Amino acid sequence: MLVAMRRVDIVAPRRRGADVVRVVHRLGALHLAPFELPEGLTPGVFGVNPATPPGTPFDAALERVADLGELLGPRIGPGHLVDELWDLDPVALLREADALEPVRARVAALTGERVLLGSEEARLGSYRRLVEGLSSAIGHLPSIRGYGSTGIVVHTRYRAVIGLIRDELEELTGGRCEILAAEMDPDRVAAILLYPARVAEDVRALLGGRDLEEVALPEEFQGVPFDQLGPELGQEQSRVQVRLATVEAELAALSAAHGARVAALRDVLEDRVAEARALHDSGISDHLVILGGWLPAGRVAELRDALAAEVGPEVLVEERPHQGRDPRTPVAFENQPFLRAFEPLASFISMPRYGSLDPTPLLALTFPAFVGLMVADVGYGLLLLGLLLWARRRWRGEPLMGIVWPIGVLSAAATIGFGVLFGEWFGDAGQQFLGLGPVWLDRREAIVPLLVLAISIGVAQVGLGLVLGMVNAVLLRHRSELARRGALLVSLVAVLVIIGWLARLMPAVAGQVALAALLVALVVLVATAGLAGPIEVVGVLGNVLSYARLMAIGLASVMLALVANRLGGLPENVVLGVVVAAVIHALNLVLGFFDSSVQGLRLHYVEFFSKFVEPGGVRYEPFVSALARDGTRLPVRPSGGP
Amino acid sequence: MDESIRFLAAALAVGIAGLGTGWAQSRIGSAGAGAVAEKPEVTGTILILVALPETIVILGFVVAAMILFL
Repeated sequence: MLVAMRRVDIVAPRRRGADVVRVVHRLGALHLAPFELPEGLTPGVFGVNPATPPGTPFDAALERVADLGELLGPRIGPGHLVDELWDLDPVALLREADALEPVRARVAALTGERVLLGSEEARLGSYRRLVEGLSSAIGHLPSIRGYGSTGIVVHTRYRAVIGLIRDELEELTGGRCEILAAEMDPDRVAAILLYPARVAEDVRALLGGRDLEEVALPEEFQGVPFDQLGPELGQEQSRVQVRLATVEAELAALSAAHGARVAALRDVLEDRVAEARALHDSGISDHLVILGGWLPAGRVAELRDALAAEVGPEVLVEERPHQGRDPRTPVAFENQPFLRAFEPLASFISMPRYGSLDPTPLLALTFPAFVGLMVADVGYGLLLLGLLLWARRRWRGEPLMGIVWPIGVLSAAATIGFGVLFGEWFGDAGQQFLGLGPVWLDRREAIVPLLVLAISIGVAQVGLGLVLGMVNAVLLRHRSELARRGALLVSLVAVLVIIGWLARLMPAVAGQVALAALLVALVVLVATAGLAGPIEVVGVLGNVLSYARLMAIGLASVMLALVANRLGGLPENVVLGVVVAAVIHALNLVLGFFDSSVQGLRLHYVEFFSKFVEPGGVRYEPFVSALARDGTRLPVRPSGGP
Repeated sequence: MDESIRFLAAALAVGIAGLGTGWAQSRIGSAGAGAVAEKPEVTGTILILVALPETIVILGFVVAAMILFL
């Protein structure tokens, strides 16, 4: 269900505005609303807070601390440090930020040096590999002074470009040049160009237009004889690596010493900046400040008590009359723990509007059932369960597991249940080796009954959607929607009765009544939705037929499992047969669960939810401080619930 | 002869519908890949959108089943 919300205005003396914001922030329950001018007052008397500048002294401090935090590596501020810093007064808090300035300067210098050393190390490594690649040719070269060199690397398929460069270089230097080329690896060819140092600029221009991977020799190695170049480059590279390791170690030490405090300080400064903005966006007059927003109905008393205790009796919390139809009212889910995993799925496309029905319980009931009906194999269900157990142990405590685990377990249970009903244990392997036949239907044979079952599920779910849509229309007082959805429901039932009449399964009277009802429903649809109204009937029938995928995808899954068993039985070698069958079953397992999940969701979003979920709800995002972000207290649920 | 025409008709019902679905999914998929590259948070929505045209082939399958079994 959706949490009942209340719209409140907190009225306080202007001088206590900052204290009020702080209490509200600490409580973490109020979804702030933009200030609205009370009736009868002009903006000149009561406007958006003009006295507080949008920027705060905390902005600059936050920028510096956030910079330092990025350099030290992202992390979450530990709870006890956040607690300690949160209660500091502004001056003391800014002093904390200033105290970190020497650390910031040192970290920035080290980070800069790390970047330079890293690129230097990469450059030396490239040239060293190039020299090593050409070592056999270089060994025959005499030492030449006054000559410059440039290394280039080209893809093997473009090695012809080296010949072109040779021609141009000979022309440029009057033949006083040399090019040595050799394969570095199967894909790359390295070459060193030797030329008089005075034409270095011309050579660079010559290479620049060819988009080549150019490896420039470090300046200090210019003129070094080639037979010494490799070892000297190696020594220099080692020296750079040692320095790089020293810099990394110092950065790690600084991160260990200051990282936690920096992260906590950043969290607290972000809170102060958010509080300043909240105060700036509040309403203010010469004497009063008004902060408005929504919060769960059950927490209004808590807000009142907190404000009375920490600010005093001069603060009033005014509750506005219930505004159930206000589309700006934020939406939060409040469901039983095992349903909570489905809340993100229920709000995946759009949050339901406040005041409408929560689709989560229905999704939790039918989504796993649909997945189970489509996969329906005991073996696959047990494997999924095993994988989930492993994943739960591997990623214990991860928020995503809190969603994946319940959905996965319910889907696996449904898969096993339907697998027993259809007698499928890795396809027909259970039947062949253990004699475990179908309890209800054999999906390989009962194609028509399963098709009828799938379409019947469609009729039931689409019909239920239309009924719930009518309930939502009543709750939100949409008369035309009520009439439209009612007419669609009547049309659906009428069409089914007419089909039954034509198939001689129903008496003629029922068929004639249904025909009359269909005509009336079409008239209502034209009146409420225009000429597109009757087309919606076709859409609803298409929605119902769309549920045939429950059977079609299931049939594909069981057939692929049979193929796995047949192919696994073909080789005479038992091990090879088991491997072949296992590979195809693994493929079927992945495809089966992935496709079933996507199709199951699609049936809910497109066919079911479109009949009753009122989209466009605003997610409840309370004004929460860093105190609540600590995982041990006041957890904020991903779906936005309190 | 009648049997073979029935099988051919059923195959065409699924096959042509499958081609239509494939064509629609290719258009949605390429546009969706571009959207996901720019905004990775829309991946889930795109997955659903890619699955939308499958109704066409499902309807083709229903028609084929009716041809074969009714």
